[in-house]
Amino acid sequence: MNIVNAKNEFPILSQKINGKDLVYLDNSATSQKPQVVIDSIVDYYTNYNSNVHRGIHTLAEKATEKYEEVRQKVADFINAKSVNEIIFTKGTTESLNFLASSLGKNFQKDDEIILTEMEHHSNIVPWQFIAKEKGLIIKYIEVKPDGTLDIENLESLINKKTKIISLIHVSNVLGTINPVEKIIKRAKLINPDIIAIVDIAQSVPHMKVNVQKIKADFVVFSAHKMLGPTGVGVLWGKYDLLEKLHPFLGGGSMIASVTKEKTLFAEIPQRFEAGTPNIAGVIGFGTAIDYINKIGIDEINSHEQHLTKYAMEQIKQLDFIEIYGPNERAGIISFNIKGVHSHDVSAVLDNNGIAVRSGHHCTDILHNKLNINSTVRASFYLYNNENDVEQLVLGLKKVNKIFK
Amino acid sequence: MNDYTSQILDYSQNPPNYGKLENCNYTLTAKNPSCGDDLTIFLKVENKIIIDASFLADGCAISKAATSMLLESLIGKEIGKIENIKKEDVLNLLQIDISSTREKCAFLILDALDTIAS
Repeated sequence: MNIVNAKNEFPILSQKINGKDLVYLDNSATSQKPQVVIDSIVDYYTNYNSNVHRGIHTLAEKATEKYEEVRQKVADFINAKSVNEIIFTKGTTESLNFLASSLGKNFQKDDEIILTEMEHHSNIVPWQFIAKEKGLIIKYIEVKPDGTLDIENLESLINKKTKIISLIHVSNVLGTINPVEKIIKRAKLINPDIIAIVDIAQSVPHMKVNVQKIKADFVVFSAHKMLGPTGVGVLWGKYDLLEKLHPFLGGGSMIASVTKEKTLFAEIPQRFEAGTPNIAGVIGFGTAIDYINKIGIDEINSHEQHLTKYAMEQIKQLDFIEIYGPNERAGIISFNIKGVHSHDVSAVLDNNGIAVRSGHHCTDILHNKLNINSTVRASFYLYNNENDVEQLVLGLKKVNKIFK
Repeated sequence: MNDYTSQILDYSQNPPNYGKLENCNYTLTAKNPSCGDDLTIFLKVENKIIIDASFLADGCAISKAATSMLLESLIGKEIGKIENIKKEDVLNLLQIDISSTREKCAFLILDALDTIAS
């Protein structure tokens, strides 16, 4: 498979928006889906729709087999030690809520949680819930003006009461690639019992993430940001830690036996997948991983790095634009046109067929820290090309002309 | 689409009634958390008639133009009739079609006015 022609394999990208060729640059919000992913979902519903892990009949067996195959694909993709360490959830947000709620059960008053100022709301709000319930303290690693984390004094934030460090791998606003391996290593030197959680939703679709190498205890991510369907997410955890985790949801599938008095739980991972899962979504996710593997994650990464550098050079030449975040970054560029609200920028770009995100991107704390109300965000994926960047730059010039 | 008519651009870039009003009777606020818009309006009332109105805002062109134009239209009106103002009144002033994603921007002023009763 060739990355140059990839665009043709995504049916949505061939349409016109407001009379112009669609330039889709909102990939950090969600990625588009190649035809093969759409086909695999249709194939499931057309040919073997059935519930998993239950019926003893041909369709149920095929559905179960296909569903479980994806678990192995995910394990291989992130280099998990065992397929049983992969839990399917509804998405990154559910994975984080699961962790906060289940891990939090064992925390005592005044225990501490470390987050960063660049976290997505999904890695803040669930911890605030449990902090309020248990009387925990949340501390934040600060973001420096250049958009990187201030880890110089990391050690001063961590002590024997620190239970959790939970942080984003790649900022969904600034594109900052955080040195998670280094941060986790230093945190565990001070307190080896700290549980390290890494939100890889913005990194794993675009770069090789090896969960064992980054020394994480848990990672969370979503299928829909990596060519798969919405409504499917992953929670990976080290097996010995998963064994200690209380189930988030109770119900069918997650039990070994139920009596009037008590329930014995099923083995892991079924223990954490109560109810009928998003079978079609998981199967589509498996096809998405196959697609990424065929192109190669390193190939995708270098393509996006090239586009990002190209875009940064072009945008920096526009003196009416302010870019946020570091030079070294993933394929995410957030910026503002001076004196123009981000919504107006994205509305004019949309009029020219260009889809970007505007707003605070679920990062109020980060936007407050940078002292900005909102930003425009352009984010790339494997099917974007230099022409997309050039259209964006032309669009930005038009915006500036209208509002000058 | 031509959301950015010269009228809307004028009103959003140089709103004639922008700023804080001293000695006002009402200070009303509204926020749009999805875009981070933040609006404060000031109304001065004498004998139940609105005699002056102004606003401060951090928001997009549509929200600022809508606010500025609507506040202008309120001068000389009875304060008690504020609750009769409808979305159509805002749209008539803006004279553009508002897509569903921009409704929150255009109608933020109505959210602020709604708080007068509370």
